[in-house]
Amino acid sequence: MAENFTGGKLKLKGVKDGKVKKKKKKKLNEDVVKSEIKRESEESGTSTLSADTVSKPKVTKTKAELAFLKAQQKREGEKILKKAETSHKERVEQFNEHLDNLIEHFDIPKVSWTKMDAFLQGRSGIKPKVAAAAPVSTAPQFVPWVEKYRPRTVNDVSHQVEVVAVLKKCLEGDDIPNFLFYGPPGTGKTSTILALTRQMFGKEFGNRVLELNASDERGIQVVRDKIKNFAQLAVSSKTVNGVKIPGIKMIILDEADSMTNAAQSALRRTMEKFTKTTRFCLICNYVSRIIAPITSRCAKFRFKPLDTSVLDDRLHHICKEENVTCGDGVIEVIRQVSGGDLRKAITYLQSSARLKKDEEVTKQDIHDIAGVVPHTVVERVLELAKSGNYTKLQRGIQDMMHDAYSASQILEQLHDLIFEDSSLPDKKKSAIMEEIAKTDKCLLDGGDEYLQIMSLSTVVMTEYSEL
Amino acid sequence: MALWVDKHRPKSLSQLDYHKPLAQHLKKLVNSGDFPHLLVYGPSGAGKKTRIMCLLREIYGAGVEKLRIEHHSFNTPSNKKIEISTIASNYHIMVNPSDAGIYDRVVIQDLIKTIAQTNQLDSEKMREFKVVVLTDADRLTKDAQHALRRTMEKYMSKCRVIMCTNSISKMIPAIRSRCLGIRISAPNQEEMTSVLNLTCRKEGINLPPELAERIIAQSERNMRRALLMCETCKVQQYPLSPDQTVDDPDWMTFVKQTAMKIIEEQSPKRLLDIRSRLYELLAHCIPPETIFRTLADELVKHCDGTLQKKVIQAAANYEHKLQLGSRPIYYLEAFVARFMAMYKGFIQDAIMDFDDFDFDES
Repeated sequence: MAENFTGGKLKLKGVKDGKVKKKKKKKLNEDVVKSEIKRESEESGTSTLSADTVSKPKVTKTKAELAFLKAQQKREGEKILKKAETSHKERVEQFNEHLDNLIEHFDIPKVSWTKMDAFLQGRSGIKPKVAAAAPVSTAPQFVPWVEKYRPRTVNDVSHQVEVVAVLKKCLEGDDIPNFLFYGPPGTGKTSTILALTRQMFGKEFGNRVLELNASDERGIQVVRDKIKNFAQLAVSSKTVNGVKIPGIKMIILDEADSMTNAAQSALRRTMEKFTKTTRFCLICNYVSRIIAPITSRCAKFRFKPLDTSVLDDRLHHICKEENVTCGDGVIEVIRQVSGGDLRKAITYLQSSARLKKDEEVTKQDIHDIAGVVPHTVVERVLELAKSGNYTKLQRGIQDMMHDAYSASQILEQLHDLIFEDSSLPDKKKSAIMEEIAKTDKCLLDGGDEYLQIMSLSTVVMTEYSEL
Repeated sequence: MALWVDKHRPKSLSQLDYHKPLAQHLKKLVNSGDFPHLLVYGPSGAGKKTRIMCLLREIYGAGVEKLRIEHHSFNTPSNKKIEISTIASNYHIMVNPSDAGIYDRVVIQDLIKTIAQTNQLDSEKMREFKVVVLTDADRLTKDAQHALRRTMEKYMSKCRVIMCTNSISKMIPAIRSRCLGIRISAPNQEEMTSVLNLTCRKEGINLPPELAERIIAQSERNMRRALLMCETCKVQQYPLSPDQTVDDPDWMTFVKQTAMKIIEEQSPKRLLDIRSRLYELLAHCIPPETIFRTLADELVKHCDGTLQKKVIQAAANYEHKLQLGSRPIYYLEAFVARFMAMYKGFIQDAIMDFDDFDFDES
């Protein structure tokens, strides 16, 4: 035990040793004297040598430290200059532009420059971003136009009149049912529900909405854990600032038809149990792939394929906004190629616009980008099949494969051609159609393109030879 | 000593020998310093990878040619470790995700995530994004392709994906609609001739036009194969003579011999023979699809009108089943057995007809 104590004189707590004090004082005095000497020597301009030798103990900072200080000051100056360069209004504008360019955070509302401060206080995390955002937004950034021109409110959704009418009613009252949206791709299903939730929840969007799509893990485990946990949370009907919003949450299951049956079944009870706090929105292309117990729990909405006029309007609008010059009939070609899918149409337009830069977009560009096989090529295949010469057919198809045309695209166009061929009796047509369907399935399974197309064209050959 | 194929590979977009308008378009696309995700498709030996490398060089400069091999390891959800080797420069990374088999989804998600999370050291001088090149993208599982679609959108600001694939039919529409598709067709006869002549001139040898023509005919519009054949010819005999034999690749000769054997005799015993030959082909890593295609084409040559159609349909049928099944040998063998049955039946019918005909005559 005894060895733990330190030896030495007894000391009083809090009272410093007088001896040390004395020493310090002496040194201090010395310093003062020396600095005075230095000042004198500097003022009088005596030899630098003497000044250096005398002032040496005075230098407390190392060379590196001094350099750092200097750099710091310089940087501060630059920062201030940079800040002074742009006015507050401009910075807010830049921030808004940055928000526009973000793909993920389209839910953050735009900021008016007079209310910027209040906004930033509410979201203190964003403030440093303003400075960081400025240099980013100057560089040309590639934002998919599909995201840029997504409808922001339910009213902006084009063509789906009935759905919009119902949803507006839902917005007026506070209660909404579970939704099931179905329809062909690119008709605005996801856009509609995003617009609806954004209108409903406003700034709370991020907290109130859980969006899951096919690329997220969505097996039965996720339904049991993630979805259930989110659904269980209770929410108030007021935001932090006291704004009244519906006291519910929304779970959006995009591409729900790719969910397994087991996962769908696991969803059934969850949907019912948490009706007080949570609404579901299922989005799918084929309603037949959703199990019946789920469909009966939802309000079903069918999204119609878009009209030609709607597509044209939208494309013209985007062309004007983005300063794209289109040749005659280009919009028409885009419309044909996209088959009523607005997303596809916009993507084609953007791709071709980027490929051509400032030049005019032509029909050929659209065909190239969409991977459309030229009519002459498909017609040649049909001619060869009609001729009944196997060797010629083989060579023709080999050539076509070397030109890297997509087999599924050829199939589609061949289908159109045979469908319109009036010389073929219906019975033979249906036989060919059946074969086309089979071939399509085989191609989807990953069958070899050459063999599949050869097999199909021999069937076509047989049907034609029996005429 | 590098092979001619690598030695004379064009290094920049302006050096490309054919598809010049496409090169112009690509240049324009890149000039703005940014580009969307790309999906490059075309048959093998058409110059897909050459164009991708040219494009990368146009964006980043000569630095992309300093390549190194990296090994990445990933953890699957079931805690299995998989190792993938990638080829990378400071600006891009080239990976063949199908090496990971059914775990390619994990590879894609992790890889792109790690790349998107690292910043470029000096963003002033370089681009803000890196490029991920996925080769053999058509061999990605559907799962991986679905995973890719969201990943592609999410990390758009930090990385671009360039996919390189033989057939676009195997890509899901969602991926196709997110990328700018670039079709690269195989070079035609004249283009190939000019490239062959140019290469030979650079090597300082004289290529007789007749030989060039034969090489091109045999290469099936595959530029790489043509160049390799040309080099083989030079190794075999120099100076080149117009009547020199141009050798097929070994496996092709082997498949041709196999086809001959099938035609010669149709019996269970011969089928056993064929099976061992097929095993040998598979053991040498010849893709079963290629075997199917070549074998079917060879067999069809020896058949008549109606039988030709049946053979090609049978080939298509078994090849499709092969894609769904697990072991290729079953389907190859089934096809051979089916062909033997059809061929024998056909020959017997022909003999019967002939006998009938004789009977009538007498």
